[in-house]
Amino acid sequence: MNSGVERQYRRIVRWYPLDWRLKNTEVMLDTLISVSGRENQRSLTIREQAAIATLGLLAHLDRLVRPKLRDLASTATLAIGAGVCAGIVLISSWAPGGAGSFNPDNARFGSFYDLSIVTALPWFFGLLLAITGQWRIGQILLLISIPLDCALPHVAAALHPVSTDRNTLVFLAASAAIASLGSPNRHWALMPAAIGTGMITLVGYTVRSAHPDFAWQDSSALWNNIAILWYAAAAAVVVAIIAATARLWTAAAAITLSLAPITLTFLIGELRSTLHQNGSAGLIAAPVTVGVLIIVMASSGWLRVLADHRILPRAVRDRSRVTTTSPSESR
Amino acid sequence: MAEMRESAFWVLAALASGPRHGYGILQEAGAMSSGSAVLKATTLYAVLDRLEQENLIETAGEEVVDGRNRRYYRLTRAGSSRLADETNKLESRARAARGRLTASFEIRAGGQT
Repeated sequence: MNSGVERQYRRIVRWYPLDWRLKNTEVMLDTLISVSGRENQRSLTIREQAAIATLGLLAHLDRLVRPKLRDLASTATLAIGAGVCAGIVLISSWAPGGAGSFNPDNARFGSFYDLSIVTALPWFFGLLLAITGQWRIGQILLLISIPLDCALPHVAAALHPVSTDRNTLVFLAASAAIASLGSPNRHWALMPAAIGTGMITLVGYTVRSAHPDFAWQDSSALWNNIAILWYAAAAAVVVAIIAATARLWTAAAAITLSLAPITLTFLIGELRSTLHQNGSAGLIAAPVTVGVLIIVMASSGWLRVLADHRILPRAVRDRSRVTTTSPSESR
Repeated sequence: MAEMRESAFWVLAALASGPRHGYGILQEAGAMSSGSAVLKATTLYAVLDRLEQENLIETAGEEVVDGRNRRYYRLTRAGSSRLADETNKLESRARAARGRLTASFEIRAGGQT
């Protein structure tokens, strides 16, 4: 027996959830040792160790949210994030594209008013990479964009007295987290979906540009006053409730999960407003929103699934299904 | 229907001829693809987990060999059907591409004469 491989494997396999280890540790070890024996390998490579650890972490995630659900939510948030970025860059950030009067003094970064293009690029590339089947690279780009979104307000403040909208950054960081935790479906409809969301964003700016005081709209215009994104989110909640009522559980839960970034943005925005003592009545709506989400989750059976995991570990259920007959006759 | 990943396709294809254990699946996939199938022992069980959750494969039993546990997997009815669908899809794509390539070669050959 290859004891080096076994020792390394037994150490790294701790990254997996307990129920997975109970079920699979020994059989996976058998396969690893068979492969290492064939290839005269005495130890696991760094790459193999990293792969085992990463898959162990993903197995934890699988227990929390089913992979199919994560993939659907990833598809939706990727399209939404890329669409919102396109809308912001075109109307708010890119000076010639702005609906308002162009003042060259305000354009601080080439032909851009602000650094939105920096936050948008990972989304544009991410969408293209997802469609072309290179999602792993897109996933890494979006994961990198999360700390970038967190650091950007501080970097921008140090460079220029330019206001970078924190609500938008919270929204994009949360969307990037959800999008990168799944694999979006490679479907041509991803692009029209992103364009659709981009158009909703454009409508949001266009509606706001009717305001007489309009001069230049930074990305915060998305979340203020007539915020079309809130209406779009409300419509999506209604669709989720209808889906849950129709027992389309996966669809309802996927829509709910896709709305998590916008809900988080809403909650953090309101919390910040309250801390600065200019909170609005919107805060009252926050628990209502959370309540609606919980209702949808409960209706979809998602909460029950989570509860089942605690009460009855998957390994126990799976073990009860495993047959004990040896298939040696067939192999 | 979501597009099937290449690794999942090779696992299903390896199980089409009967139940196999993990190492057997790797060997069969390697042999079928002339070594081009990108299936690693480290990622195999993640693929098997997903396919099992989607009810495309199921456990066919366990045995102890040389003091080590060995688990066998087999295709479910849904797995066979999904593999057949995927194979048909690949065949139709290959046929379409081959048809265009043949036409293209004929045009080039015609132009050269």
